Amino acid sequence: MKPWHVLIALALVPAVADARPKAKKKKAPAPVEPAPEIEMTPEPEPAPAPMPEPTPPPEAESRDTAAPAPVAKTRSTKRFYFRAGVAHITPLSSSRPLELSDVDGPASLAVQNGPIAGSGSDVSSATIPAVTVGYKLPFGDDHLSLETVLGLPFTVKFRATGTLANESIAPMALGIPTGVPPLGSELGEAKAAPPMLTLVYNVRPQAKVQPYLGAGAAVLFAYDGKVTNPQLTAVSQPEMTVAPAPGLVLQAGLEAKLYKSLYARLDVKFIAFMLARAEVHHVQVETPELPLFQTVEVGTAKMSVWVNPLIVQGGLGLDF
Amino acid sequence: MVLRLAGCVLATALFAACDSSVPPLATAEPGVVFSFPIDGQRDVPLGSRIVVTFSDPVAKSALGACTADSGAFCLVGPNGPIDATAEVVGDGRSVEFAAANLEEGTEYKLFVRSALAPDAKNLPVTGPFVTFTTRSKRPRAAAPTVIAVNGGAPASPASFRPMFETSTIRLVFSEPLDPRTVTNVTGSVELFDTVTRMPVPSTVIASGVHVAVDPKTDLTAGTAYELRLGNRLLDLGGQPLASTTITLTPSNSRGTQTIPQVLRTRQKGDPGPERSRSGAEPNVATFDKPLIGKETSKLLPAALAAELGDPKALGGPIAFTLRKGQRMKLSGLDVKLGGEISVGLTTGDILIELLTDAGGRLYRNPHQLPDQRPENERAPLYVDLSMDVAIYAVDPKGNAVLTQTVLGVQASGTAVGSDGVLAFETVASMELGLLGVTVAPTNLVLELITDPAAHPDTDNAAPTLVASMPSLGTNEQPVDAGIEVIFSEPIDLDRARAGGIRLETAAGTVVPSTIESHGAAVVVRPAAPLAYSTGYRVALGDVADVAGNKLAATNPITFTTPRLVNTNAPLTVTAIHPGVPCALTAGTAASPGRCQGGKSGDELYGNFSLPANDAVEIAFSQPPQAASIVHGTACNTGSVRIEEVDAAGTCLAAVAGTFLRRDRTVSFIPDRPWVVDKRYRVRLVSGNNGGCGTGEVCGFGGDAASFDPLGGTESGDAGGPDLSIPFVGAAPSKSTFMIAEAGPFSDINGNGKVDSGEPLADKNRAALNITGTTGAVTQAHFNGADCLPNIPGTQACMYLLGSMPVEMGELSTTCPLPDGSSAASCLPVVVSAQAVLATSVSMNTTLNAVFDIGVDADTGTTVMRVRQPNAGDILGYIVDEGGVPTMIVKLDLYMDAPDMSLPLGAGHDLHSKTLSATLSGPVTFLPDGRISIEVSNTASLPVTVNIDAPLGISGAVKMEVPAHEMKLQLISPALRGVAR
Repeated sequence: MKPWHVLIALALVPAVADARPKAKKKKAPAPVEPAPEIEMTPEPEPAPAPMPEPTPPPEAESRDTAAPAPVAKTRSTKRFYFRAGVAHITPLSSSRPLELSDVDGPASLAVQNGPIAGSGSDVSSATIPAVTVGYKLPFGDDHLSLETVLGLPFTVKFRATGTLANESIAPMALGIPTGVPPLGSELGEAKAAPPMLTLVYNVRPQAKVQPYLGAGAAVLFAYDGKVTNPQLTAVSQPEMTVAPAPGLVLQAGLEAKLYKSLYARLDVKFIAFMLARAEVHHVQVETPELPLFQTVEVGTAKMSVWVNPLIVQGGLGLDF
Repeated sequence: MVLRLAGCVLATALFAACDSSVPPLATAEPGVVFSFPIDGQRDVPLGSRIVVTFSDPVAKSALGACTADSGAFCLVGPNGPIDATAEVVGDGRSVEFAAANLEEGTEYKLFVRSALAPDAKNLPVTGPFVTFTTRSKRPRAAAPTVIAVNGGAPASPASFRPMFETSTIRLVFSEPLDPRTVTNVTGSVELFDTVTRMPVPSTVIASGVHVAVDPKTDLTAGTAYELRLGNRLLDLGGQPLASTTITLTPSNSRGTQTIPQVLRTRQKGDPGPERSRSGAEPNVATFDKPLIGKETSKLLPAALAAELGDPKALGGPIAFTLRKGQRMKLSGLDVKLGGEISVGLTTGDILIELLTDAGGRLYRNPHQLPDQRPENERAPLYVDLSMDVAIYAVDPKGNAVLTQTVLGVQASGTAVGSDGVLAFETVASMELGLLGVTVAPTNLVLELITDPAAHPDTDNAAPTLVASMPSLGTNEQPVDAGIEVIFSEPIDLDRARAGGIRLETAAGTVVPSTIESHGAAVVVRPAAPLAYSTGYRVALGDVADVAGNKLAATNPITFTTPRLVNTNAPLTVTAIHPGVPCALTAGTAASPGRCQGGKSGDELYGNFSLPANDAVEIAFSQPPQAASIVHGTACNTGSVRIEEVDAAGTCLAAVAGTFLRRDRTVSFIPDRPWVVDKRYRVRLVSGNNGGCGTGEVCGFGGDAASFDPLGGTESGDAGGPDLSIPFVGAAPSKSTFMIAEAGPFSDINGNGKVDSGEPLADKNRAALNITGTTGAVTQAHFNGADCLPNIPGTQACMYLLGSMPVEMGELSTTCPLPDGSSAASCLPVVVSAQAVLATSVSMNTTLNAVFDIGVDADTGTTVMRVRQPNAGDILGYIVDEGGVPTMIVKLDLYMDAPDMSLPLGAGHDLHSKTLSATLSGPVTFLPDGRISIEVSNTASLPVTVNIDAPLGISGAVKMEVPAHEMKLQLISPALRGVAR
């Protein structure tokens, strides 16, 4: 009987924090530089209140005043940014043995509540489009920003490992062969989305190439989980739930200014301590060697997986 | 804004869809999950608990009155709903009739209607939920027939319980069979292999209406076997079975494998389901009979090895087998009469041993659709278990009382997988013989769980010989009874039948006999009655239990049958039920009259009645001539007539039934219970003269019987009025009836004398002591042997002969004792107004008539009739006297010495002479298990014989029976070896 899988979800993350220096110190007087289109976009976002220096945007300033202002630092007036691209998510997962609970009835003749020795599971990698959206904080000289990642939920496939994949977990009941075969590696899948929020520190906000570091929190949400193993779905579709799994995000990356507000980014995140707990209820399996029963309801399979995904994301985007 | 919107969309999607709910496979509909009996069950023991269990609590308020067409839970027989109260039991899911008063051999329909369980989806819209037929052990006048083969109708093989390679074949007949005729031989019971054309060696066990045929080796699946039942099978009345053949083909239940299992009785704290599916406490046996009250016994830890068949072989159901020889254990009983009066009989642990291979199958719940997969709550697996068991006890005396074979136990129940074990909870009902005089409905809820770690006990103990009847060296064995050999455990019947136990003459000639199974006892039953006055022995040459443990070398059980001395004294009746053992006269509408030959002032007897469930029983003073005992099957025919009569006494019809003729007794069991208030009559014909004419009851000496013993009991007194007892049917009695025989007894030939070679049975005699004389009688003394050597003078012994029908009732707190006191509780015993015959004593008297005249006179047979004051019941009581169950009864007697003649024309007054005696004594159990009521007179019993001679010479001889010197030991019939 079976087991289950877990869902892991993933966190997608790209994030970049970045504060892009619009004013270029070394090219301060740049009267020839056309104003970026973005400047023309009415920006409803109010300027952060506690701006220490309520100066106009550098570009405007430069347009209005031909002479470059002797400004020590140039601050970006474009508080938001996005970076669209692709994220590859690689779970660095490890699992505890699959654990059965609520085993009763005929199933208890073959399996008992508790872990199944040697069993385990993992989740597959995924590559998905992802958009990082950030907001540069109005303090900290553009070093700090908050960002999150938006992306289409992605499908994560769960795989059985160890005895769960290779051996029948209920080969005998009362010494009677049950005919329940090994599950094989396929277990199930789920849609996952790992909303996260990171605080990013841009080491060199005005540089052409801007390294940054970040940290934050993520929560893995999984939905539409379904068991896809043919053994487990032969009788009915079990009910699968995955509890939200929080995790700690560590982030690092590089961002390169390509052109004006156009940036390229390479971002790496690692979400630590993300323990996903999945439960599959009402698992029913066929017992071909026991036609008296024909099927048996196993109860609930619980799996706890340290997902700990490593997310590598690349993308392009604009500040605005 | 866009981002915010996007975030909301994503968040909504995430939080709303984290659970994926897919409904599991549909579960079974609520409703009935179990019933006992199961639909179509046959041979359901009377006293069975009728129970239906639902998946959910029932509406108790729906229970109420039943009519033919309404009522939530009703049991309906041929005469409409039975008068019984249904109760909700267990955890509110079970409804039962705990003590329905069922009639034997009757079909009942159990109606369960939706008001009781409105959510139930598997109740029939119309018609009964369950139909079953009760067991009938009543002998029938017709020839026996097979009424069930493996639980189904013989004509409908599809109704048989499935038969497998290991199955024991279980048959139920329409009436009990003569055990002497049930043997594994051609013409009786034979299992025949149609492929090899050879008989299949089998162990055949019979008990009452049941026969079990257990092949010694497993059968071959797919092979047709013929069970041939021949006309050598006879019922108790001697009617043969019409030969019949039943073809049985075992299914392949083993497939490619059998799977060993170990089952053990579930104990407190063991894993398994929390709730009983039968609404009763599991692993408890309940014995319920007024004689002992309601007793329970718990199943003790025990493990059984089982074999499961191949789960795929039958396409679903799984066969299982429990091999014979395995045992379960019940806690012992401390037998108390009425549940309160200890009789000093403890059984020790009670063991239940499988006598044949038991087995059955696991299958899907029949109350759900066939494709409904098993489900603990609403569709638990069903299990049926058929078994034949030996019941016996550890305590030797308890074992002697209890041990018996019970065939055809049909258990059914549910099997639930839970907590890692498969728990079988089965309900079974049995009728256990109780103290040899009645049966106790016994309901057992047996719960076994799988436990691979359990180990069935290994039997390493050899059987031992516990007791026998007759016991070693005695000379009391009735010639028509079987010899009981009681062991400490059941023995291997095949081994015993192969010559391991043999009945032989004293010279070593084998006496043809059969060996019956009675639990831990066997009965060696001679094919024909033994000869009187002959020595026999039972050789125990090769006795072992099923496990092969051999009985240690044991000397043969030697015994002698009583010495029967020829006599021309007429046979008479010593006891009859119903009625009194004398021809009657002076009958009126209010009374059948009084004994003919008694004084006209004798009290009249009350009208006789016979409870519907009682048999007519008659005991004779000597063996009748067998050919003279002819049961009349039409009005006014035969020497023994049981007829339905009208108010004028005109025969309307002979009552159909079974007439059992034994060496000294006859019984008649009607096909149907006596109808309340209907008039019947028992008539024994003696003829008008001493010759033994056709249609007359005659003694073994060839003389006609005499049923007016008060007119004389000697050879010239044969013939005379018939014994005619009118009676009416009465409601069934809950009392326990038995004819207790005064035994052992001396006067084997019933001629009123102790003949040479007849035993001097000290347990049944009255010692007479002459205390003085008066008037013209100046001296008197007894001739012959001194009965009481320890008392000065010579006392004479009168040896008693008789039987006493008694009915032991329910425990009572109304217990007035003869001395005016009362007991707190007692078991009332109704004593029938019978007669005891006493042997003659010889007395020498001296009459002084001018000169002394010495007179020697024999009393001849003394007839002591029990009077029936006010035509009511004669009540005795069994009370607890210092821990000893004691019978106390006051008997008022008429004493007659009809054959006593004095010289010189002298007369005496031993004619309807009244006496009163209070008798008291312990109720005990003999080593062979029979009940013994050993009473004696509590006080000196004075008897004065007045003598009147011509010429006005008169006087008297004053005698007494000293206290405790009138001894009467009433013994219940043999438990197992009683004549068939």
